[in-house]
Amino acid sequence: MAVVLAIGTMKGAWVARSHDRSSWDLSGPYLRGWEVTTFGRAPGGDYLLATGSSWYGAAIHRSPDLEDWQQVVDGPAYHADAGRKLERIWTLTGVGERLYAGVAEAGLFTSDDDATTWQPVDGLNEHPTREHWQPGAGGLALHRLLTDPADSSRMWAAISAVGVLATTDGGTTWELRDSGVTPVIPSDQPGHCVHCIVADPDDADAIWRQDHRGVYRTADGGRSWEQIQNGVPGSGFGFPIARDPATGHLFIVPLESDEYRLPVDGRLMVYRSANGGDTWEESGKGLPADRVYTGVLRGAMDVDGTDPGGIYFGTTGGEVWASADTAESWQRLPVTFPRVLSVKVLDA
Amino acid sequence: MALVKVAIPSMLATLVKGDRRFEVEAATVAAVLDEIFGRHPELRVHVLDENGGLRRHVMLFLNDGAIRTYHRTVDDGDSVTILQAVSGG
Repeated sequence: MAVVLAIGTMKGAWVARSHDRSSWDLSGPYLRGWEVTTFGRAPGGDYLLATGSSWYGAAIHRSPDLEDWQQVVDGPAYHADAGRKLERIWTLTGVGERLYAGVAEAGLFTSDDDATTWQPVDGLNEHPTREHWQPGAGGLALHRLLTDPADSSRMWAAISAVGVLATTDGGTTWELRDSGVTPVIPSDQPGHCVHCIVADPDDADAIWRQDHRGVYRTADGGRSWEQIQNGVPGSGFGFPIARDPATGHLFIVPLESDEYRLPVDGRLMVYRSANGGDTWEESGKGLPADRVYTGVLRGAMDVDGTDPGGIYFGTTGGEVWASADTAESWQRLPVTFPRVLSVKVLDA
Repeated sequence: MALVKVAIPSMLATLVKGDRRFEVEAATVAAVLDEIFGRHPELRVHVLDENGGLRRHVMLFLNDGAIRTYHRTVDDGDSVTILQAVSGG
């Protein structure tokens, strides 16, 4: 079982390759010194990654081989009259021959020419509620886009701290879908701090959500949500949520609370649900037993889609952990990276 | 037209797989920037913001003086330097 794992950090990207999901060969850093915020694939097959910098802004880069990277010149960019800055690119999502880039300040851009040129998705970027959108601690960011494999006109965008917006017409119009989720600040305006969402590829209306206020799920495409953090330590706060499509297992990383954002009791734990979130249990052996005070960011966990499931995550302390048995056991890659922003399975 | 020495930050030079220092022919600072972006179009987005002004944490020097506008004329031997501002901790 061969896996190519991309690791984006505050200071560049690395690529880890394994033929058995046990031993790993590491290459990098690529884009040395740049924040690498996410990865993707272009319809033509090129690998993509996004860089960011507090000095130099954000851009997309492409490579045919994960070695030689070339910046996309006409990448996502707000027009001057939009009054917004493109600070980071947090997701690169493909839908057939079309690509989407979710960015901060929150917005969505699309490309129909293999990631060469990009246009704003005005239906979302100029949403009627936009004037009321507020940033979370990580900024005002569109960080995850889910699509319906059976119907490319249906998508769900997660924006912190706004909520989940859904479209059924290919992005022309979007509606907020947060009913049942506790807002961060009670108000009649959008104010839901969704941290991450993941869907069942066989049923796009089945979505799971790691929110500022806990863990939620919906069976109707976000029209109604129920809280499902039963048995999860802490307040339900956390950032990533991943779902192994091969086995249906869900994975989260509980943190103490939104105030402290530390592992509960100083233990780096991955919690796992085998029944769609009805119940949760601590995953298996291998993670340090105590005295760990790093977290896992929303884009820093991914799965490889095989059975038994391969699960991977990186920490703010620069560790990358892997499991090849649906989180029965964990193995740490023998390297310490800078703060890990993104972990993505590019080939499996 | 003047022959002007240009220096760009190493992170930007690495991005375009080019030299940090090179020379361009231009009559004004604006034309120097145009020459830089003509040679390396990837750099425009990293130096200028959405309004065409210098990014907040990017500095531009003409010889020893920091400038924020581009209308100044340049002479043979002048240096135009793009620097990463010392900001951000």
